[in-house]
Amino acid sequence: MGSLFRSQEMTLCQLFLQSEAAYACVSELGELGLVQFRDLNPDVNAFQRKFVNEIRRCDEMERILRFLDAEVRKDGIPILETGENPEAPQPREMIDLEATFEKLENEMKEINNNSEALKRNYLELSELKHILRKTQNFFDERESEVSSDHSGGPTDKTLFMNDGGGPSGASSNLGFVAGVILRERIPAFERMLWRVCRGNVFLRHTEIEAPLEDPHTGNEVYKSVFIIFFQGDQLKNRVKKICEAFRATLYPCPETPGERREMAFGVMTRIEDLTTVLGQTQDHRHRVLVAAAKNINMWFIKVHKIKAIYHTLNLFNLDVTQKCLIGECWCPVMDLDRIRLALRRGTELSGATVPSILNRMDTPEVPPTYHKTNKFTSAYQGIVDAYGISNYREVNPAPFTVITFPFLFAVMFGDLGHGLVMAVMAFFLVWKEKWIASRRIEGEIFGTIFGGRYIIFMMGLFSVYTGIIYNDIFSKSFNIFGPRWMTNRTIYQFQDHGEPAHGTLFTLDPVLDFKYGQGPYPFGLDPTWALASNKISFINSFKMKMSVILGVLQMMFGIILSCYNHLFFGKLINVFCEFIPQVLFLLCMFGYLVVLIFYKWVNFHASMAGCAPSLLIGLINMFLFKYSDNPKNNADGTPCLQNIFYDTQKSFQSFLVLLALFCVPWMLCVKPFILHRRWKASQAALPLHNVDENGHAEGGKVQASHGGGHDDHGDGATFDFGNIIIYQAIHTIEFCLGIISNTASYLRLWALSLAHSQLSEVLWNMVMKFSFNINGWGGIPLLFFLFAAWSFLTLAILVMMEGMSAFLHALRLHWVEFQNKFYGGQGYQFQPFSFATMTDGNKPVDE
Amino acid sequence: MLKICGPKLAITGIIISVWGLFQLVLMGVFFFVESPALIEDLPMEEHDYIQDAYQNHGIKIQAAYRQQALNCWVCAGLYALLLIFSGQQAFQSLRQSSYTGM
Repeated sequence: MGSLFRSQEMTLCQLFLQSEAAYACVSELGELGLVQFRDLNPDVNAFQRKFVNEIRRCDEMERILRFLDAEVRKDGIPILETGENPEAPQPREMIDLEATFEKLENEMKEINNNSEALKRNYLELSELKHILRKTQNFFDERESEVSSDHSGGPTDKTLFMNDGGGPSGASSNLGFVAGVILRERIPAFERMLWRVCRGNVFLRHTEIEAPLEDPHTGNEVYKSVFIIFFQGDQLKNRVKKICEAFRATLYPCPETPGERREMAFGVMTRIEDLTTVLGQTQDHRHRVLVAAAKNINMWFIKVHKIKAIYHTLNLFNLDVTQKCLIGECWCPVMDLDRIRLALRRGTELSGATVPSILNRMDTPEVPPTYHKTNKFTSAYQGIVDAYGISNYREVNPAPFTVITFPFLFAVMFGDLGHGLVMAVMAFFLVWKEKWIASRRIEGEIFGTIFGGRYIIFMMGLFSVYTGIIYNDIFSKSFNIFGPRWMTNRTIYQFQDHGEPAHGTLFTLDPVLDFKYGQGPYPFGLDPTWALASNKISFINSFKMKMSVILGVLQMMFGIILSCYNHLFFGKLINVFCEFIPQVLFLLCMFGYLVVLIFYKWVNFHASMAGCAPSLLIGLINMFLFKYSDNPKNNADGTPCLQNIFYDTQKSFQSFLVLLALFCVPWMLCVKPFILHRRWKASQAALPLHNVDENGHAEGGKVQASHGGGHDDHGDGATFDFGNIIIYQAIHTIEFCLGIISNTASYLRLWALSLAHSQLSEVLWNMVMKFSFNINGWGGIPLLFFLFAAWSFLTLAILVMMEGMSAFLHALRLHWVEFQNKFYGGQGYQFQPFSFATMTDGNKPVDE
Repeated sequence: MLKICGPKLAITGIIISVWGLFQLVLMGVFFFVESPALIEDLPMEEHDYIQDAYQNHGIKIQAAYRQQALNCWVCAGLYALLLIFSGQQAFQSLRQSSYTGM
């Protein structure tokens, strides 16, 4: 593994490939995935390139494959996932593939056409069958109506018979049509018939219970059988028109029952025949598709590879003799040997006589940024890259993020129980990663969590650590080493060897009730605090101070990293004009505050608590140069050090403030001034007539060696003094204001930590506490269900939601407060030509 | 055996029952040793247990602790049953899904 501290050293190379060997060589490079090709014909559009014909053929093959894939999926045939990775086929194999695909496609199309025709036939027959069966009912009803006395009342059925001029004449005069219509069209259909025929037709309809299959789309549709009785030819025409408009299919229906029965019989036999034919067609289709499903993934990969190779070859330049293709590519210097080896292999495979040549070139262009990551570091690199790709070869924050990110997260998420839940779940993902990755579970959320499994695992472990420090497990505390507080003067001391011996006090006095002999609680917070009513005010003070300390340390670390950048890029001027005043500025203000925090922790005993200096007010007074005298000594003669607590405090603090103030003009003015001086000196040294030429040459060189950093104005031939001043002023103001606001911003560590512990305590008291409410066996079902509710809420609110919020805040602290001290983030990503990333974005690329 | 719930519910069941198994066994232990951190969770008012402690040698408190410890252990047993059940369900849906390859 290469170093993650800086990105890989890259170089621009020229490739000379024999035209016979080019395909094999590019295929080898694609398997290797370490080379980014540059487009040498950016002006040529896609249709005028050399291999456009091959790419078209690949497109056609892809289309057929997608068609086959859709057919396979429609039939629900499982696609074989062998996970194997076939090599890119030789160009001559392409013809075989094309022939195979074309044959398959034609076969599939023919089968589809046939089965569609058959299905349509089948649909018509089954509709006819339904019509015959349902209309039979209508006719039966009518027969019975006719035979019975029709004076029973003006029902619908008898009405039209009366209109027909008597029961006997009715059936002979009446015509009817029968058909099938989509069920949802019935109401509109009925209304239309009524309106157009002015109520002179009689419609009966009934639903076909079983769904029918639409032969074209394959969907299931529900239909109804209808029969319309009417009188006269005019109405008949109208009814037929309406039926046509509603896409109803009309079927001939014989008048007499005997004919109908005969017809039904014929239809049944035809349906039976059709079913066997349909079954055979389906079987054939299934066989063809199963055979295709076995190979379809392999074919997809092969076609993609061919297409990618020709696409890459299109980026190359043709040599004048047409014998040789010339390409340019970025590649990491470390891997040049592997690339050469791959080229040689490609040449040998293709049997070309002339070897391929890889030639390093000098270029003024800025190379792409390439970090070699593995599956553990890639997620952290992703966090950094989401803010901005680092400049070429500048310090990469990712290796530090590996530790600081989970740590800052855990400071906000500190709870042993929640940390454990998180770590166990992430550990499961890490443990079973191959199995889970092979199952390809869809879903963006799951994908994100699975991608960040190592980060989440680390965050969980760190939360366990901070949870022990805060002595918090689901808002309860553990007593491991024995508390350092004595309760024998308070009313809480219930028993002493069976005898009630209790005091009268409600509070613990740190001077009298603390066991000084044993020293402080060895690790983390004393469990006695968990039961104290002033727990929050104690913990707040501790966590606030801790956030300031952590913040100042991390910002200081960021500024030190900027020094590594200045030294690496050879910008000594930045060390003296930016790095040193920045360090002084930070140390004079908040560095001093951190020292005071430790001083106060170490030097002020509980008995002096009332007289200890207030750090916040002290800091404000320090900037206001306001120093008041200490109040009078205590009654017992001990001094009260509320304002002044060491001898030279006033002069030292004034010195610090003045030094910090002095750093501002130092950062602001010195660098532009020096640059101006340098430019003038170089102007004077150059003879007049070739100023321009040299100036340009120098500018080009500087850009090349410095990687185009944005603060190189003024080194070129033109010197824009105003620009530099403005840039420097923005930089300085941003830094000075940033130091103050960023330090304040680190207080979010305290705020989120407080919120988290309070929320978990509230959840316990609101839900879990009630499960112990019944003093008896009835508590068991209560406990069973409330525990499930509590654990689910803990998971959803405290682990997921709070975890997300702590994650976002940790992200912000890294992107803004930490990285703006040193990180440029103006580079561009190295995107190698690689089959592995192309064929499957989700597959982890392990070497 | 019968398949009642889908894979997601089964996995949720597994997670919660493993968690419940561990936590309830441990909490049972802590109730059993009369951990003071849990005294606020007992079904008693503050003046009740002060009175009980002064006049009654804390017998009621001890009984309450003991009762909750037993409750926790019984519940842990119930969660073990739930774990077996949901494990079986998850296994079944897993086998089914690997068969169809979906």
